Amino acid sequence: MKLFIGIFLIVAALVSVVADYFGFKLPSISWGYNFAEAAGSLNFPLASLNWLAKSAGEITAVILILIGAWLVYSKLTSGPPNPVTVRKIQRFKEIKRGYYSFLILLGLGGLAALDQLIVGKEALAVKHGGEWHFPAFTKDLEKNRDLGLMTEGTADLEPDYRELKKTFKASGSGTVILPLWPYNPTRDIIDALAKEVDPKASKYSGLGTRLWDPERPADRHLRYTYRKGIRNGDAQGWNTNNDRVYKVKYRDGVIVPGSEEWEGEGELADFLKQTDEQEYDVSYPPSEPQWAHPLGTTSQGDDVIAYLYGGLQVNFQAALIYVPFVYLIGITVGLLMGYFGGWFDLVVQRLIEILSNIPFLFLVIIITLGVPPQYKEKIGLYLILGILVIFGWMGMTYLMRTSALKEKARDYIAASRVIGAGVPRILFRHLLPNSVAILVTLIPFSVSGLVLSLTALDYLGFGLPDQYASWGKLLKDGLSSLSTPLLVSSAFFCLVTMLVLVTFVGEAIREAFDPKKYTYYR
Amino acid sequence: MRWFLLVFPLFLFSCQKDEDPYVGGLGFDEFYPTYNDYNKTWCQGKLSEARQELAKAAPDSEAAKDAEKIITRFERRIGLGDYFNFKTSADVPVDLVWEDGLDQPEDSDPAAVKGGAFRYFVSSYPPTLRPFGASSNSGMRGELYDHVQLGLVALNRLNSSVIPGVAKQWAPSKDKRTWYFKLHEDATYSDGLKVKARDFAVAFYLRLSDYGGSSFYKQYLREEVAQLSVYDDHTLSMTFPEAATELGMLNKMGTFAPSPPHFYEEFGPDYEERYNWKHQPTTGPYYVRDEDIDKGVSITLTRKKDWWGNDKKFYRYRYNPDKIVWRVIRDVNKGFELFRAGQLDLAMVSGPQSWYEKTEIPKVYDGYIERHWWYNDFPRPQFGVEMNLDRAKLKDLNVRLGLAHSFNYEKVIKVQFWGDYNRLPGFVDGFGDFVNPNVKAWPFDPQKAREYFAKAGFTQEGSDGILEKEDGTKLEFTLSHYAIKTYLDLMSILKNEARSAGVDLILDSSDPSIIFTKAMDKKYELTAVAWGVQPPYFAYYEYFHSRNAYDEQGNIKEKTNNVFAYNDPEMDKWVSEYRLTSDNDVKRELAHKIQQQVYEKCVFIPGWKRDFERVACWRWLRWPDTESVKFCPPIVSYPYEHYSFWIDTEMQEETLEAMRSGETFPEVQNVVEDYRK
Repeated sequence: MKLFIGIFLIVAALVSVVADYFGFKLPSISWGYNFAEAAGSLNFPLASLNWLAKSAGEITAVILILIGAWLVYSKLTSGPPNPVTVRKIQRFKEIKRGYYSFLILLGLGGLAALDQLIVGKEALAVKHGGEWHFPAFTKDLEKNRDLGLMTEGTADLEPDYRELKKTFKASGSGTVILPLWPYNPTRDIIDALAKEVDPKASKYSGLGTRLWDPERPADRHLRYTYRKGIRNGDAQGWNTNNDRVYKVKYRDGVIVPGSEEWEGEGELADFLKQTDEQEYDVSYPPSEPQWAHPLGTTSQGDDVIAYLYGGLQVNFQAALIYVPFVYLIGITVGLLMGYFGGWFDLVVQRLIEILSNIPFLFLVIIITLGVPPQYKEKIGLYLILGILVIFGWMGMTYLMRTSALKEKARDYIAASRVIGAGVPRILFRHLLPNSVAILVTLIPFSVSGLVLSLTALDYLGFGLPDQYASWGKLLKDGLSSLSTPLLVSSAFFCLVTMLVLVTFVGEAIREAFDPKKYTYYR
Repeated sequence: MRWFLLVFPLFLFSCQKDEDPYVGGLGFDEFYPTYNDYNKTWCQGKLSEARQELAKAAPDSEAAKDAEKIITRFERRIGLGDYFNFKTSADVPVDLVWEDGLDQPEDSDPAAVKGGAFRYFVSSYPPTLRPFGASSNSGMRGELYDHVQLGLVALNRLNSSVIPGVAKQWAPSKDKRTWYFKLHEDATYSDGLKVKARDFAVAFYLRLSDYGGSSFYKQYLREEVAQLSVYDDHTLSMTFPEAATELGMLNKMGTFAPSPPHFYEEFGPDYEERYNWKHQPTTGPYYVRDEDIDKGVSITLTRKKDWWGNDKKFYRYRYNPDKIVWRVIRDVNKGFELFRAGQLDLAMVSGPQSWYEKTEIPKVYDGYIERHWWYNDFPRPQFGVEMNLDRAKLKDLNVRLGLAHSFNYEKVIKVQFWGDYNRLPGFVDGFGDFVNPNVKAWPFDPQKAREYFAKAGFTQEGSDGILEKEDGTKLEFTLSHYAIKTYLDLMSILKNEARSAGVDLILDSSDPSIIFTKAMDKKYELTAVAWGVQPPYFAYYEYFHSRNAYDEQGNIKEKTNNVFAYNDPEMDKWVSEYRLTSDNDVKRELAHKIQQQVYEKCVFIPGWKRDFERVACWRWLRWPDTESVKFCPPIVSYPYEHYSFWIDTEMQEETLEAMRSGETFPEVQNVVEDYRK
């Protein structure tokens, strides 16, 4: 396990460096570079901070390689695995509910890591004019010009790959391979969705729209009002410039005499014949579900499935950043408090009391209000995680402190001190391995707490910047547009499922690590 | 606990103190001589300031001319004599040409019947019922005073003419600086006491007094009115520092209403607390009974059956319901649900989703609820994006033009507003022929935007698709906007679309009041704020005069409407002239020139406008339908604010009975395009 993680970290770090050098885009591996790209354009007040931000990619790579190397080294040099640990893992696997939840979560994590392969609007590969392009994997933004599409007025714009796929398919002039779900979680606005209706047959009440082009449902041609399948009420017509040129009133399926108004060019009869008879039920964002968008779109026009996927990614990313930092700080401070005791213990205890008594949500709100918008926009996720870390480490310090206090009085600590071991060695070689076990059980609950805090902050509108999809924002969106109940229910379902899975894992770990299991109950 | 016991008696004591009646009386007679002195001193101060300016300025320079104008202005003011000026009937000039506005068409429907109750909602309970003083400008002032009381004169909402209010007749002096008013002899307050000319002086006093807490009026009345003369019980005049047209007079002070002196007998230092929950008797038909103030829940207005205006033209068919119930409902969606349940008579459903989806319900199909789509002709709020010319990047016209071509408001209108709204042509719209027809919004065109940006030096492109200068300056702008759902949704469209032009918009969303302050203080780069604009004239001076952009030291001037930091001597000349001239043709020409200039300088990216309101109401809520008035006269922003609707109680019973028995009516969807421009 250790060996595997170690090798994985080293490989990931090396790949991210290579990818950056050649201008490849691998967002799920190159976190450091992602950060550097976002933060690099900011002007921090300190030159060293600027340097730090710009070289965050390399720094992260180096740190990861060091950690990986240490993991590999310690695995290779240590003896056989600790039989107690082996038995704990065995016990965890036996608790099926937790174990399967863990596997599902791992699977979801893997899915989230596939990123642009699964979800995204950029094509994985485009073949045009005998040349292959891989827009989804290159850092540079491909333009129509780069793909050899030199239409007047759009050469410098980003191609619409979904559209491109259709045109290529029709003309046979190239190939486009799209991701599995060809929509971006955010910043990919789907104008409106159209569903074919046959008002007469279905006794339809509502609006029936004839479209200039069914692919672009926001461009209307004629719109009729139906009551029980019969035209009743106002009807309007627009030209291709979206100017209203035609107006008429129907009563019980017949035109009300004298209500017809035509302001367009040419003959009205020709205008009415310009599109075929098919009428559509056009649904604007938040759109109702359709075959191509089974969960509809959000009120900003993002596909809900892609959005949920984006939210999942954010949750995993946040957890993987948050947990190591929080535990690094919490464990270190807790151990020091327990080991040194005295005034250090007293001072840090007071500090913890102060920190844990500050109303956390208020503080986040105040801080987010004070941060300049550029920072919020570019490094918003990291800022919020930073704040969460600052207020998240206190819980475990007391546990660590207690167990350090208990362990340091034991003979093996005294023995190692007698043979001349230094403080760090005692802390990290002897105390830590013997007291850390209890903390493992806390990790899943930290994760669920984190997911909840992020959701709550997003819900309150003080959370992640717009380019991140987030379940909290979806929840809020859904609650303000209850007429499309799928929004709120899908966000709720995802959130609850995630929390339930994490909690199942947490319970299973607690059970597996319970030292009293064989002493009290059997 | 012990501490609490010690402190507790103090609470008791302070409660007791509030109960004492204030015995100071109105205090007007003591006040006005002092204020006359103060005003004289203030004018003299201004005069000597201007003289110093003149001495400093180079001869024949703009500054010198400005100073000379100020000197004549204040010399004239001092020459007038006392600010509060009491004279006799004999002092009214005899050669005045009195106007009474009675030849104007009536902007309501004779079919209206009195009776019934109108039930609607406000989103928050007002912090006070006072008409002036702290926080009186928020909340329900319109519902309690402005829309239901009569000022001196009023605006005819059909054709922008001036019609009588409390004043029966009005007349300008030869120089048009002084306007004389003759009040209706039978005019009374809602508590039955007569309205007298002196009450206007009292209204001035209350707002000028330190106790009134009305800093806006203190400044406004001091600067915009040079003298208030009272001749007898029914005649008064106001003198303005500059000449004013009839509409100009209306704009300045015409809608000013008198204050009943007997009501303010307890006016004093604690005015704001003492009067906080008292509704002042007005000249209008409605009053609020003490038991109808249900704090946090509702406020009910009751119609005075024998109101003096009942048979006066322009008012006889308005103000029809016997009761007007304003409920407090914090959530608009909940308001709509209560409307559906029949507990409210009206719902505003202007948004496309409300109109096309939420009101597509059986009660509409069955004709119990009717829908009206009414195009009005009211000044449009400036929905769009303002630019701060004080920022280095935005000083370049090419950048501004590029930006104007990078905002895809067409898509916003199509997607967010379902194609129902239109693009706003320019900063000023909805002022009839005062709008320059040549001013049009720039179309979204990323390729063209890139050409402009290239001209401004943004020639390179980063890997994220954002344009840069050679020195690495990125083409990014912070766009401050309201954190309201509509804005959040449409800004994300704009941001996304602007990327295709190589622009990075950094969205900075915040509470509307914070954003508005930011804009007024010019602490933004791009912003999307809008003002509520009133007819008949647009205040160009506030928005474009350099005095509202920078102070004498060249520092940014905060808290002004010139959010652009617009600073152009030529423009200064035009906007000052526009403000001072009383000739409508000159005004129109200047307005066109100003708008053209604003358009060419490209400091505002026009967004969208909604030139209609959509209303769903129960069928017993009837609206005017005459030759000239369809649904509601056009110069009104929300149709219910004109109070020309009425409640048909018979129809109400009929409808309720029909709903019980399952009988239906034909569906009504009434589109009124008569006033569409």
